[in-house]
Amino acid sequence: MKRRVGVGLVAWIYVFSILLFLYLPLVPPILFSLAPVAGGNAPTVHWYGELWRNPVLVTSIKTSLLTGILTALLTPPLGLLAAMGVRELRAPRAVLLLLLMPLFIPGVSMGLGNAFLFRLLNIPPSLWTILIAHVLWALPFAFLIILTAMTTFDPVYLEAAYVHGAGRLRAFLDVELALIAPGITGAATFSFILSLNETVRTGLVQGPLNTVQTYIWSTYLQVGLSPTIYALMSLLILLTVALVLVIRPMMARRAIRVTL
Amino acid sequence: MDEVAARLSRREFLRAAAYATAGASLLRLGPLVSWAGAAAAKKGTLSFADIGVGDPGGDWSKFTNATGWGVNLVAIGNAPSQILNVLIAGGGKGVYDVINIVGGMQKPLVENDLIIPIATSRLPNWGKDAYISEFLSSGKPGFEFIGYKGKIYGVPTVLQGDSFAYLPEKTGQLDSYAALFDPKWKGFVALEDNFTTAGQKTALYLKTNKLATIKDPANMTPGEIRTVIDFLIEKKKEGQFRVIWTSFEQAVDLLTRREVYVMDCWEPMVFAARKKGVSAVYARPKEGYLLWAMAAYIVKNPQRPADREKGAYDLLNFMLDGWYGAKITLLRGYMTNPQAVAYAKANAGDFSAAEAAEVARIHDNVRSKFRLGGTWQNRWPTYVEQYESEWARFKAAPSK
Repeated sequence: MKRRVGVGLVAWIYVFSILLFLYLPLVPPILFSLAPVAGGNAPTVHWYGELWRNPVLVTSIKTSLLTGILTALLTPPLGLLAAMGVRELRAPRAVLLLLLMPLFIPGVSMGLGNAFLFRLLNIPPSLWTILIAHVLWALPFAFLIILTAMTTFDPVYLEAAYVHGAGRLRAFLDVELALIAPGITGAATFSFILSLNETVRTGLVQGPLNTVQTYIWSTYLQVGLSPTIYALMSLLILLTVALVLVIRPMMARRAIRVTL
Repeated sequence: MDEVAARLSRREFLRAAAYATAGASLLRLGPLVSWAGAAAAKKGTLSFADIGVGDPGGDWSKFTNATGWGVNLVAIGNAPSQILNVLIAGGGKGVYDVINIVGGMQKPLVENDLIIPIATSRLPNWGKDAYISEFLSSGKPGFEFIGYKGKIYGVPTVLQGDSFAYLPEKTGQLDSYAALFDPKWKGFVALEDNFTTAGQKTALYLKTNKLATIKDPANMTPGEIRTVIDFLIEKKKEGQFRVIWTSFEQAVDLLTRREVYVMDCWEPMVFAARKKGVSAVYARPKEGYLLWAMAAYIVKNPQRPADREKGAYDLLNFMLDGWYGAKITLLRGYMTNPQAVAYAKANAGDFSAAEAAEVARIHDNVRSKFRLGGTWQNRWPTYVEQYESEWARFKAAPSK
């Protein structure tokens, strides 16, 4: 018994160390964002208020949020269609690999590819070009998440729906979609996060707009970061962590309810 | 498929129609994009691509109030190839009215048909900028930062001379680029990852101290470039360089953590380190400075209406004005235009006495660098590909 407690303790220390390793880099921006104002010594949240007074930053935040929301809305349906196609066609692994390939293509290459394509098609850079680049970036992730959710779905439920007179669309909407909904919500959440945090591809197609990330990156390279930028980085970190910590368990609970 | 359609209920149809309507509404969100920097501008918003240095803290109200034009600032990178990509591949030619970058880029910008010549008669502040006639006029080396083949393409927005920083508590007083290569500081030196700064300063050092035959550090022959890179590789193999830095923030961190004692860098990094309590000094090397200027260019767009082009000229004129110059000097530590000093002193409502004194101090400091001279940075040398491949060779070389 003592030996099992000892092993458990070691396992916990190991897990805690990994967590520390993973999350320690997120701490400095949060600490720097609490820097005292000139003449003071005490930590302050002054810079969190300050960032709303910089119109360039505010515009960047709006652009990032709007792009993130649209990416989260557009990507899961495309991922769902791709996953259904792969399942229906019993596509060979090569097709699966092709769908996931953009994950492994360097951001600069993908961004430049997008930019050249938009130019060939005479599409001027705008929110929509950023959106297309973000959807293309998030799509393989969304596809993978939805495909994983679909593999846990038992086709027997569809047979049961057909037996009870449902057509393919109704059976899909009422039975399959309800059961894989957590996967779709997860794909939407990840699409939003990926969009919010994308930099390299965005920088090449952003045209007249800045996202938060392209603004931070440019500042980091040329003029240095300020407590206001650290405050913004902290908000992004907190938003991302909140999305993962709050929304995913909510969806998991919903999945359990639907299954029951 | 027919079976599916037949089984669609009226409720499903209505729901699908609702989703389609919602989708269509989303697609109409395009006009929302025009919020970008629009503020209360009556005439519209000028699109201003900038590397971060030209942003006066987001406050363009003085310009907007005077001209009716708002400014939408877009932060872009400063690497030459990146700028060309953003303008050519990234569609920037049709989007940006003005780009404000480190100058000297006229050759690729003009040859790719990306910028237009500046009619200086349309800039009332042009003639008031004595720095232009003193340092950047035709026939002087600084002209290469704003002009090309006799025509003016760029409006100088900031001027500066670069050298290197050091920590006197570790090194004592230093006055030569030799410190970057001195074995005494082996392992405590950092260089910038840029062949037109670190490479050119090295060339200036080798030439001035007669350690290599280099005719012009600002435009070396392939053989001269190879000599400079061979020298740097030799030093790298000896373990001279701790790191090759790539960003403002990284360079400041190296100084504030006292990880390096001698560093090839920009002067504002020294100001940033001092604010964090580190007594760093920016050297006044006997070999002189690496001189440079930022330039604002009007992006070529034949579709741009005449009133919008006038707005672009108004913006350039504003950037040569006293308020903008003083603001940028205070924020970034660079010399801007002569009106900045007088404006800061005369407008206590905008600038305190201490701020006005700081603007004057920075201008005096940078002006003295230009008078000392050195070499002008060359952002697009004749053998640019050779520079790039040789710099890649330096970076790939092993360190001790």
